Amino acid sequence: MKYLTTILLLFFSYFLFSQPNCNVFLAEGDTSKYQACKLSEKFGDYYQFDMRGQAILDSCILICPYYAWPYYEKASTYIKSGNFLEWNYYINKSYEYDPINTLPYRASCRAKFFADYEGAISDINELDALVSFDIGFTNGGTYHLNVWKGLCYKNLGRIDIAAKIISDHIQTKPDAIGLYDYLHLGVCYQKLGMHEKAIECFERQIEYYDLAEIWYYSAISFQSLGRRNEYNSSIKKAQEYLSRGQTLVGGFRTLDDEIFQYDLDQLINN
Amino acid sequence: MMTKIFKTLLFSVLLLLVSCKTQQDSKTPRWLDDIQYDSKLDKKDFVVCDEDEVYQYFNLGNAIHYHGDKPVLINSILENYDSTKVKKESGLIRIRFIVNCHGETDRFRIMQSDLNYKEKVFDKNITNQLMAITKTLDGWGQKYKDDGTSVDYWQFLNFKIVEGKIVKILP
Repeated sequence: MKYLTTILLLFFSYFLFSQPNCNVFLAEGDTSKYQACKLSEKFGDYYQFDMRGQAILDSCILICPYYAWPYYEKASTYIKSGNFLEWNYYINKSYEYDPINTLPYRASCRAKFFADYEGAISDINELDALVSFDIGFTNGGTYHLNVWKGLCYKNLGRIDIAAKIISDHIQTKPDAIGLYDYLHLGVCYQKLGMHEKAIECFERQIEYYDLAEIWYYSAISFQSLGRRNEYNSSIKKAQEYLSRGQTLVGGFRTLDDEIFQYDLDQLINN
Repeated sequence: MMTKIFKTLLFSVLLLLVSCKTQQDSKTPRWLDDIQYDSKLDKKDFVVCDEDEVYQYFNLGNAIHYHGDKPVLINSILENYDSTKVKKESGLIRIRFIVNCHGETDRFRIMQSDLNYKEKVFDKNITNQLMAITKTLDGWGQKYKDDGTSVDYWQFLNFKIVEGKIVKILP
């Protein structure tokens, strides 16, 4: 059931800012937006980086300069080449015309690609103030934006705040617990020296997704607590999982708390 | 009425232009953010195995495909970067390049901004160091298609610099 809920959440959040039904704009009497929307349907015929598809988006912007979607799509291509100048221009234009649909994505990307954690937190807070419904998930759907805010604080070194935010999210939204939330919460507790609580979180994480990081971080806490046997068995499991690639994987970036063989070797040898 | 006719006409012309664009202009890059060969900047003997099909870094495997993985890459950079001899500037620096089908690198280009994503020019002691270090990184892995053919791919490194120090290397 937990997996089903997660999959459904991922599915819906992934399409959060998808192309709308163009007829909506026609019904509203906005022919410019309708025409830009109809033209934008052709963008799907091309690979995202293809300049022919990008030319379609440029044309959509010419037809309807206040239609957010083509700006958003251009931004989402530039982010994938790390081009922060163009990304920033287009994502801010998208935000100008549709802040509610743009803020989750801008908050995600600022932290993911540019380590702009303050900017991401600011975006999430702004979204929270703008809407009366749930603020939703990061683009891609891996994290609820509450947890994302917690991870931003973690990256800023405010571990206590991060732990509180993530813990509160888990307590208050049990149906929106993400695939890795317990892992990150456990790492926060570990950094705060609360090893028993950290181990509890790692054990809970297994129910969501069992991966090498659980055993690597468990080993660190067991080591700190002087529980040698559990440390050894955790190291062994971490190695097994790493060897078969059962780890955190982010296609576009290294994820928070992701580990590599290098990290495990360092732990064993030090 | 005239406005409506004008908009419809503009829409039709743009549709036509988009259709015409399916014939590629050889002077126009085919892919967004492509870097063309520049004889003043690039090695003459650097081989791009298939110029028409340079993959992106996230295709065909991990975001960072480096011998020893990302920790080794980061160590290689940090061990060689000297923050004591630079101005205390802050911002983002992207260095983008091609890893060819043999795992070799070239076509390095740099982009710079402040922490608000506004274009700026960093102290040369920062950018020259980063460029020189990036050029010496030789652990990039080859990426392969399903049929076993090795491909060329675009890779980038984004450096977050705060007061002259590297605080984060992404992606």
